Amino acid sequence: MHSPQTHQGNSSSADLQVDKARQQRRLELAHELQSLVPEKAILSRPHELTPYESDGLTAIKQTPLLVVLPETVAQVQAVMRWADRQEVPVVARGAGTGLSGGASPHPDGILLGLAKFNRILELNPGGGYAVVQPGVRNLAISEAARPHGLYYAPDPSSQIACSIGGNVAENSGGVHCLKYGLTVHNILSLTVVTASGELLEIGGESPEQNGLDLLALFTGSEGMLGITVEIKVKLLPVPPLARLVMATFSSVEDAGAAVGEVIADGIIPAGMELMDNPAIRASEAFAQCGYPVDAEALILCELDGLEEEVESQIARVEEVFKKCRAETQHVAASDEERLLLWKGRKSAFPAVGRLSPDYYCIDGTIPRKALPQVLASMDKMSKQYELPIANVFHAGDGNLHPLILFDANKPGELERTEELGSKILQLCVEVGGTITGEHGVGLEKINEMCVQFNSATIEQFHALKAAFDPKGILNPGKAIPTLQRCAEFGAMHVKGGKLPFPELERF
Amino acid sequence: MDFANQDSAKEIAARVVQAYENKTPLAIAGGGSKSFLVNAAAENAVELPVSGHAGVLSYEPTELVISARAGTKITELRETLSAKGQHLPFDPPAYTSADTLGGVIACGVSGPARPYSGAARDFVLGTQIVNGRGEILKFGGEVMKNVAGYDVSRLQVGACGSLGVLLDVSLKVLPEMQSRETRCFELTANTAIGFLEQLARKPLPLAASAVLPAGVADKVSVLVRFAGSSAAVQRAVQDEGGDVLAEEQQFWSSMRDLSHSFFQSPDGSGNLWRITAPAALPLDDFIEAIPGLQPQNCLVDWGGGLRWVRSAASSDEMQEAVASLAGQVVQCGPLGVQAYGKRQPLSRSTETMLRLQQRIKDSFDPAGILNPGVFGYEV
Repeated sequence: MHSPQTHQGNSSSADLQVDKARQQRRLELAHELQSLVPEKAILSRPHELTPYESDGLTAIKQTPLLVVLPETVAQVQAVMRWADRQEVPVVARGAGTGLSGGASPHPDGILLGLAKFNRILELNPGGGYAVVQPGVRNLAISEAARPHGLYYAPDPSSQIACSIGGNVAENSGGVHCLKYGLTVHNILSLTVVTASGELLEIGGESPEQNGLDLLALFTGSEGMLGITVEIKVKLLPVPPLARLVMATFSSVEDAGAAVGEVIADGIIPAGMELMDNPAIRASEAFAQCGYPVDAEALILCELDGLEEEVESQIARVEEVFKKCRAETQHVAASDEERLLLWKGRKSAFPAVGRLSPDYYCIDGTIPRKALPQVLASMDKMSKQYELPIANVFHAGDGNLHPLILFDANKPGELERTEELGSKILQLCVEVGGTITGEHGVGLEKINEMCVQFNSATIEQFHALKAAFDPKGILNPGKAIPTLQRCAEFGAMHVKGGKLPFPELERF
Repeated sequence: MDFANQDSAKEIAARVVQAYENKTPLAIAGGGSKSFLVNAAAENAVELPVSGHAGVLSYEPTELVISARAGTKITELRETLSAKGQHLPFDPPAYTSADTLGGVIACGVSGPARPYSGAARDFVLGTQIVNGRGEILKFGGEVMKNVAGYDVSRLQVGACGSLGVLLDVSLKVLPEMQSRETRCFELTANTAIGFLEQLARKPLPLAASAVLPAGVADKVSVLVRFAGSSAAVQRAVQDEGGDVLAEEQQFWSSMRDLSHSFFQSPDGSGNLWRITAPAALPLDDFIEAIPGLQPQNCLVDWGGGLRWVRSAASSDEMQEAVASLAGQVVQCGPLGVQAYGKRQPLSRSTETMLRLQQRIKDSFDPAGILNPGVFGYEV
């Protein structure tokens, strides 16, 4: 993301030569591709390429050599066979809403946009499934299934825009995944095009397949192992009733403890979200949804199921919150109010974005019991780096989204933000968590992979990748760092033989 | 947490390193209770005992996670969780008293709850393994959501130890169901599966379903288990009716652990077959497609996804028939008589899939020493 420093002097003419060579290469590849896909499916002019230069992680911008927008599986296969022969890097892209740079283009490669694969191929209410193309939007599946009383459970906050193919690539979650699981728990089979252009069926009609079960491995593999061209998703009956309790607490610690107590009581809510005061204020200002802006912490707890079940659980949850020193409690009076309260939470990111010129979203997961410790440490770091942090937390499953507020126009602030983000992720690993709960590694968290995994494990990842993609043409440089990169990163963060933040407890 | 310092883990890793250097094939030996589900290991394989690497490592009920060494007995896990009002939602079987966590994960076995609560794979959060080079590797973790690195933990489920020796496993656990009831419906073979499909479309607290021969010509017993909050279960049984099954807990345990009389007294040549098939396949069509199958010799679990069959058909005949139904079959022999199973060979997959699986195997186990033959790579 930092542009490489060029030597002083004749840099502009050197740049010009590089540009010329790239343009030449661009025209060559475009010419070769014309025999494989329709001409209109190849984008090569600067203004056509610009919209593809980044995904949701806009801090990283890179123009691809070409964008190719195939319309049929046969075209995807032809492009991959060609790319494999020519050893041209290929980066697949869905709706481009990913937050970790997973769909960030390769400078010497093509960006394979799957937006035209936007059809629901089969909706089978009896069998409880739908077969969809990868470019179908997440929410569009539930909308299509709704008349049959069914829906697709995983609901990432970006569900209006994000594509199901991208969900598979990132193993996306959502606010309801504590009860209903992640993408991996809600897909039945995949059709993928391999790096060498072959068609592969992963999973099938039978609950078990012959040989290794590759479905989970493929899910969340960030476009490194193949191109998903068809997805069979599970559809669930829409719960007859959903009700939402909003509770406020005088500290985030109290709220965190309350989440644990609900679970200890044997209740698995459909969703359980926690926000701190800065996040509450931002969301309320943005969505006017009725959050009490003076609360230190707020929990949204949704129960769903049969009416009798939901009513009895609501009463139990209120009881638990009361015991955990909730300051106020409110049960949404109508479905409209319930959805409005969710809207506040789901728009927390853009809401925080309005408070500050820029924000940077972190995606660590921690054991829930470590929440007070992690929040206290983040508070210290926030002061040290002079960068405010707002926190939203998928509290049920420990997935923490600190949002760092910064101004990229202030010199050095982006770099400071990235460093702070990296420190927070390392902290997540130290308390027994992970550097990414649902956004993926992509380019963004590739250094932190070195903190989470030892060299032998990283080498095993590379060997596994090579089993799928021997020439390394699929999304090269993403998700798994080279050991050399880890060595460099290690050298950086233990500079001077001193770990940063010696006051933090480690392991 | 880093559990690599366990002596027993180091010992296992050292044995694999040695085997890797000497190219000695290893037969990973846990409790030995699931051999009827896998092929016999290559004859020259040396046994690698792993059941001594046992014990619960960490368990915090409010985190909904338990971590244990692979040699831990399934019965011990059940007791540990039950003491805190929790359970393993995929309800793994214990075929004998020796069943281990490692065996359940390696063989990827799930109980009757599978179609409604999820499979073994769905609840694995992290693993520590020894790969075929003897390296101790840790994948996933002890948190619910984790997308760092490829999901190698879940790849181990059902891989029958062919990609690594399991050392430790972390699983997601859930609160026990508050209440359970099973209802029985008398139907005909051609309507049973459709009936279950209809039920699954409703927002009911379904927990298991099975179809058994009723002992009356042309009739089958469809058993449906509801589990969840008392309120939900009461509502469900009120709406759906059916006859109450007494001692329902024992019945589902006997389905899960294969102690039901159906499995204990095979007829004819005594061959027992485990078939997974598309759940929607009507029972009468299935019976017709399987060579020599009498209706009283077929038992259905998983809402239609798993079908146990007693038949004297040959392996080839059966594999052919099941392949035509897009299913998978393991010949289990008469239980307790035939030591090893016979899995459908991988050669029935496509060429692309076959090559890919072989390359994945090579990436974990380049010398091909881990459980050769058990899984059927050698084709």
